[in-house]
Amino acid sequence: MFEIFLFVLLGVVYGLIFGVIPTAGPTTALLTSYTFYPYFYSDPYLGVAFYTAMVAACTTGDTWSSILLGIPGSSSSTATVIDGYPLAKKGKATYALSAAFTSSTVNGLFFGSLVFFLMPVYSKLLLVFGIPEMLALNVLALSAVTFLIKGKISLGIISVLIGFILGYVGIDENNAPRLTFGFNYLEDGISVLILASGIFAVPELFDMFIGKTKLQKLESSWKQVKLGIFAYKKYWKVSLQGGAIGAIVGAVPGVHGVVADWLSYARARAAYPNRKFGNGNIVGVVGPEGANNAVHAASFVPTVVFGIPGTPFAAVILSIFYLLHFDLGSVSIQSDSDFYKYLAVGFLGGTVLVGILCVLLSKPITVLLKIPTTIYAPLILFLICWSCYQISHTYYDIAILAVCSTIGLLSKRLELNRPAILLAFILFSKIEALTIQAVSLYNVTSLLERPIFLLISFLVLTVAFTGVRYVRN
Amino acid sequence: MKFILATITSLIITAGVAMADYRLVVPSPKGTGTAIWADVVAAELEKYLGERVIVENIKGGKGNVGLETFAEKYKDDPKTILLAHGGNANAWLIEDVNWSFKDWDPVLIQPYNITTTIAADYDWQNQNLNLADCSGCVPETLAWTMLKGWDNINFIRKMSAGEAQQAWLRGDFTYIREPASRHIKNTVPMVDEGTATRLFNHGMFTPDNGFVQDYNWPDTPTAVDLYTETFGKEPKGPVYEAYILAAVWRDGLQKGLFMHPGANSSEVIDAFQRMMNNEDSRAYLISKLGDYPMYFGEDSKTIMNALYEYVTKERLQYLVDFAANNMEWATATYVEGKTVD
Repeated sequence: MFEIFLFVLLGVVYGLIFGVIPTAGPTTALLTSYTFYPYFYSDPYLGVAFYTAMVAACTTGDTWSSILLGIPGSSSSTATVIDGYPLAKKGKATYALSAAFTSSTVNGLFFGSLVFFLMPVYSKLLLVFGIPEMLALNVLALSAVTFLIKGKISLGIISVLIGFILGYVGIDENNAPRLTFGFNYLEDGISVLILASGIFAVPELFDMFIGKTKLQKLESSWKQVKLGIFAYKKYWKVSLQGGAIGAIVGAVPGVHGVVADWLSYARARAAYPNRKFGNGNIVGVVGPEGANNAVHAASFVPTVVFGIPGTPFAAVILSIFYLLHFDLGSVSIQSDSDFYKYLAVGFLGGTVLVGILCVLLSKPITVLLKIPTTIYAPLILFLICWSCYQISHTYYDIAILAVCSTIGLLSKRLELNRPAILLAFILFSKIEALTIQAVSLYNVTSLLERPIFLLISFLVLTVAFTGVRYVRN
Repeated sequence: MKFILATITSLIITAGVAMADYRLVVPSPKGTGTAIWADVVAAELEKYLGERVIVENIKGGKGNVGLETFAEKYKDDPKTILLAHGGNANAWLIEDVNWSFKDWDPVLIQPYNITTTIAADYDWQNQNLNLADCSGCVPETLAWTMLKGWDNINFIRKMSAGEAQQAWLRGDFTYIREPASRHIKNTVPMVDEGTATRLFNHGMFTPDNGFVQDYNWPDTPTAVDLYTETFGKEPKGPVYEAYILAAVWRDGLQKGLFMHPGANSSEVIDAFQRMMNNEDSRAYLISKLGDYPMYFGEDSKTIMNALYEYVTKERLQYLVDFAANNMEWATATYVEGKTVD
């Protein structure tokens, strides 16, 4: 028992370190710990608990950077930045962190339990969500972009177009290179990690380095921690709705975690139509953070039951588990109750441990904000470059980071909507591929016979209409 | 003082040389079948090489970045090994790439086989087929074209093998193609239940006789045998010739380790021989990678030479034409210098 606790704790600490590194996320954490797997040969189940706890910790830990630095901890936790960072700038970082961690932990536990204990039933979602439904879900997330637009509508539209152009880089349906400028490297498209680092992290670090980022008076007290927990209690419904969105989206392979992130943010805004968002509204933190852990818990479902990794981190964990002699998707794994037990202990135990750790640290950690940014900005930049270099281990990674950083710096100066750029970028390739597949496989009549597709399409119209009305107001 | 410094320096250099690791370049990201193969083999090989084998996954350019990095950056490195797979083999045939298998020495080749399964209620001869344009699926596309004709195939672009697998599980697809390991895991239970039927595979590649019956699936015909049984004649013509070329290269070179000429290949081959002679290691590798033979040293050269013999001008032209005209691959290019005639 002590051994399990120890390895869950180790996984949590390792995951938390990578959660704190801006934009790194669970995939980088798993890639850098890949070579640890032989240590678990004597007891592979401990490895399951260790790696799963790592994912849970990363997912919760990525909130630090979103709120304290205004840099998404990972590509699927961008929405937290919108209202979390303004709260930190107002000196309410502890309050925002505490609310975020509580929302993330409670939902991680609730939806994590639901997912792990009802996994065989849950896996049916994969069979219900076909290509048209996945397409509609991605379009629904894209329609949420209307809630991101503030100020000039034209700048919002330009931001989305930039995201589309960046998403266009790669190869077309006939394998012909598109906007690759003769570089083979770009044929696989731009990495989400590199783009997120370039458009969010580098511009923020640059401003910190030149002293442009000014934080207001820091209110770091245990009272703020309590207020954060109370904020969660007050807006628990928004958090729960975010969690439900995450728990559904995560179980559908091919739908990026960013979809749950933005849909839950849009849901939070829609729940309070008369309130201002984007300037430090705690509801805008509680909602997307509610989806954060739920989406990662749910993404284990297709990976474990069918051996289909729905996310990049799931692909890496699938191969690590294979090396530990757990063949995900096989009949043998479905009858291995110990595997499920350690998986649940790793994720749920990791969620609890990291949640407690983060809430307790949310007061003292804000002391870091008092350190001159010129000291830690270069260090964070180095860590980001190192994370990006893990993608292909070539200097192309750094070169593309430099290009994306230039786009990010210009976007910030021109007041373009950077979250909209990232969202449009991620969704472009998904929507393009799914549209081609849907057109090849279905006609209008067959689409009209799919109730879930029709329901999501109706939601697309509702969200878009509400969003446009919001922008006009 | 100078002596102490010189001693320390030489010790550091000696230690550095002694600890210089082997590097295994894998042109696929972690999580893919090829990357898993690399991790399994590298971990086992270390025991026999007596040195670490660092796996370096280099993604990008549909694998070309990794292959180009091996070709250029590690040209003079005696301890760098490349792992190429069947998808790279097809790319070498069909596209104009900046690297060539002919520039490297084979160290180990492991042929493989891909199994095609259909839904039990699918009438493959009379119903249309949805086929994904996934990476590495060229031989299946050609086999199905040979069996059904291109006009009866709904070719779906921008669909990965993973998405095709999901479509199969949902019932949107009536066919699935899988390597042996995934077939055993996912589809054999369906075959046992009677909800799916193993229709064909490509056979096991041998240097002397080409594709022969795969001993892992003795009851499943090869695509050529299925054609012969169904139509009462042996296949021939451009599609058949293109199919043979694409299939022998993808499955014959499903996993191949290469090193630059002049590199420490004899040391690596020797380690492989000792590894495969050890019963425990052999059993472990078969359990992880499937029961397919591994050819190393001179045998791997024999395999490569046999594969080169298949690349005639006529076959290569048919294959490139099929990729360009039917599959509409914009990158399909006939390149001189690859053929034997």
